[in-house]
Amino acid sequence: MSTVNPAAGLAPGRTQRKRGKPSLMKVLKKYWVFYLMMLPAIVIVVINNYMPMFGTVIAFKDINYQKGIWGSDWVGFDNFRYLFATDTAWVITRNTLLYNSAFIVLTLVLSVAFAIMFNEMRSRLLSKFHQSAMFLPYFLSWVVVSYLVYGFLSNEHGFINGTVLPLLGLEPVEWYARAEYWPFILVAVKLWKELGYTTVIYMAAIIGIDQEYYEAALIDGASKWQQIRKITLPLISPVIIVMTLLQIGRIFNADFGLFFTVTRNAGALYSTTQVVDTYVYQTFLAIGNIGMSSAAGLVQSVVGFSLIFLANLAVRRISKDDALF
Amino acid sequence: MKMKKTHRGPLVSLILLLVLTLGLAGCGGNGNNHEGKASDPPAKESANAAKTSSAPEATADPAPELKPYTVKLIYVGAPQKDEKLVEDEINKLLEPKINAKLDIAPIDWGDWDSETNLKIASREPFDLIFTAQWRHYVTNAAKGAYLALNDDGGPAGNLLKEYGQGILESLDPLFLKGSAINGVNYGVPTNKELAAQGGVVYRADIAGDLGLDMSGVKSIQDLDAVLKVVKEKRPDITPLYFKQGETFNSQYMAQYDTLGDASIPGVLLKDSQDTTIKSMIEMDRYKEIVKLTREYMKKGYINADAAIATTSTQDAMKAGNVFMTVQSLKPGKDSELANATGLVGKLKQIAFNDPTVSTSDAAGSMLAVSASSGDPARAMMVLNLLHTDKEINNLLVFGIKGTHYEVVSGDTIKATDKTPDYNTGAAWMLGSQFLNPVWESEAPDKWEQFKAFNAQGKPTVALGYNFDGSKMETEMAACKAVMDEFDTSLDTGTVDPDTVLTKYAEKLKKAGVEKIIAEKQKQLDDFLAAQK
Repeated sequence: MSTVNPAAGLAPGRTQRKRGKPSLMKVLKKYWVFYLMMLPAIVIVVINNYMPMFGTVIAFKDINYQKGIWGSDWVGFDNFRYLFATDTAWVITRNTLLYNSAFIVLTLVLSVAFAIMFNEMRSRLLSKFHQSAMFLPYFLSWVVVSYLVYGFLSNEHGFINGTVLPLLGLEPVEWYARAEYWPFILVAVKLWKELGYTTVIYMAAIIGIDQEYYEAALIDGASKWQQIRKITLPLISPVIIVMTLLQIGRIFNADFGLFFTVTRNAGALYSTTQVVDTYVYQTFLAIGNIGMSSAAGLVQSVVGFSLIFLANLAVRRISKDDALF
Repeated sequence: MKMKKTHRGPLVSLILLLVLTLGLAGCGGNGNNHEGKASDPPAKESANAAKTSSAPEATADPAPELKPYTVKLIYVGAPQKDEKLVEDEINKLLEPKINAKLDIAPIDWGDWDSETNLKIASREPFDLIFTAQWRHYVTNAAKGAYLALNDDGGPAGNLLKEYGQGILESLDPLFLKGSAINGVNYGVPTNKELAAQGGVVYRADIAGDLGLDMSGVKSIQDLDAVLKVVKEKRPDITPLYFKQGETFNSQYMAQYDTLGDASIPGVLLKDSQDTTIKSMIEMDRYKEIVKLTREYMKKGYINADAAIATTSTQDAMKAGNVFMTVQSLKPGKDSELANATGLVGKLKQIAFNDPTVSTSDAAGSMLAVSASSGDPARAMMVLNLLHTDKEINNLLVFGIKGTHYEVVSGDTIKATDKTPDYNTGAAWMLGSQFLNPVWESEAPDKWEQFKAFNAQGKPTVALGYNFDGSKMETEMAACKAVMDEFDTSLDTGTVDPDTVLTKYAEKLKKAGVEKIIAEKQKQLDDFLAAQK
């Protein structure tokens, strides 16, 4: 059990908290070794995540390179206007949120399902083989994946237009000009590529479950289905919650590689494929305005932060032990 | 002892942590301060440089007075294998003259926009950079990425007057007039063809095999008959290769004058005297072109993947299975392209319109002095040499004589085994093309033809006007997003204009296109009034 629950390590701290908060010095004194071990990670987080926060001021400035960042004029919220100037804002927000929600839900359901299935496979060798085969696409770069997809969907020589559709007696489809198909294509591609990774995480959680639970259940005559529902799922739920919370925090950050390279940035598909990240990239390229790009980045961060905060609040309401903070 | 240790441990680590974070924050702070002040040092340095060098410059022996400095030049192209060798040769010439070294740093087309935008935004030090009206010249100038070159009150002073006399003497004044923004130049145009003309380049050998008569082809409408035959008789060949920005609707083909950065809506026609700015997609010419393109696409003349094709027209030609591409023409474009694609003697060009000189042509290829330059004066000296010094310019463009090319006679050269190791193909970006020799396969009087072509070009009404969009950035970004969505698929005939155009117009309207056009019109009217 203890290996499963990532919060277990905090248990001593929690019991202490109940007795009244110990002073910072006392905590440090007791756990200084852990803090020391944390130090390198903290340094990296500070450099990569906290120091760039100074750059937030760029979002409120009309940057002129000759005046420099501090010397440029303040423009208030002008840089944010373009994000909401047209209905594009609505389209990219909708796309980003819907795609990411679909990814979160489908990844969760499918990878837990696959993890349980792999775990139940009799032959360890076969299980390992399937696992590895599924994990493999995760290591491909999106550029490579985009060419694989192009191999399937290309107008003239693509596998689907060239082989599959004629076999079925159907007319070829101009995939890169028909926006309506892309929600399905993108979700399929994303899942194909990343399912292996999350599956491995859930498998690790399942393997950590003490076998005695299952033995006891067997003696009580529980079916496989009952075992999965009553033992496996509840025991891996902390992992599920943490993973999901983390993903919700990034719900406003789209996978740039997926949406930019796999669609080959085809304008005709924008209505269903343009997300916040690609839109910002396009504008930055077109106008070269880092103020606007920073504004978009800031909006993403604020929304992401609020979402993870709210989601965590909801989790706390339901089960305090599983909340992130 | 042990007690002590546990006592001190946490304290030490805490202090360590504090020191580290403070140190880092300090770094950040310093960095930012530096950003803040960054505008001063180059200005001061250049002022110093100006003081120390203006006098010696005049006496033509400035070298000993100047501190050694390396000028970094960024242009578009693939990195060359023998870059180091050529740099050394150039430096041998540069050092005695202005005590400077040259660092060549080409960036390929594929990465150009993202890399240069990042370099500019991060204020990476470099000195000279390629820019053009179709590559965000006006936007970047407005953001202070480039130094003003002839602004007496500017941070770097009047660089052109002080160190660019050679440029002022050799360059047609129309170039500088046409590329100025509110009367100030932020880049020095390459001395080359000034006029622009659109047309096609096609495979003459294939046309010959198929018995095609190309003499009757004068417009995009006339292409139908020709492409039809190619399509029927040579199914292995793409009759007409299109990609994003290389279509019948390209500026040079349709003769749109975008009056500044090409990505901002609102155009005039180069071949008309009408000064009423219109949205491109409202023009009859535009509607006619996208309709015809759609028709050609349906007939299978155009490559089906045109909307998402990334291969340049040049590389497509090189692959050998393309019959025709659209090109911005100048005298000898066909043989220039033939040299670059290994199709010597097999290409021919046909012009579809008369040459014109507009702002976009005058500002079609320039080198700008970066605001992050450590010594703008020296950068301008190098620029001046690229415009006047035959030896240095040719070294940079063609490599070392006898190694990367051989002289046939006079100003005619031929390729050697080593040519692929250094052959920038970037003469049109670097200084003055009139200093360059011609390849054996090109017309020996190429530069005479250029001059004649330039004289032939008709200046457009709005020559010299560049749209200043700094007040319209929200609308520009919004419109650009809409244009990205529709332009390529419409221009390549991938979608049916009848169904899409109304939607496009509607979205552009919502994005604020009318506001931009109204502002453009106002600025243009002011400009025209000032001209009179």
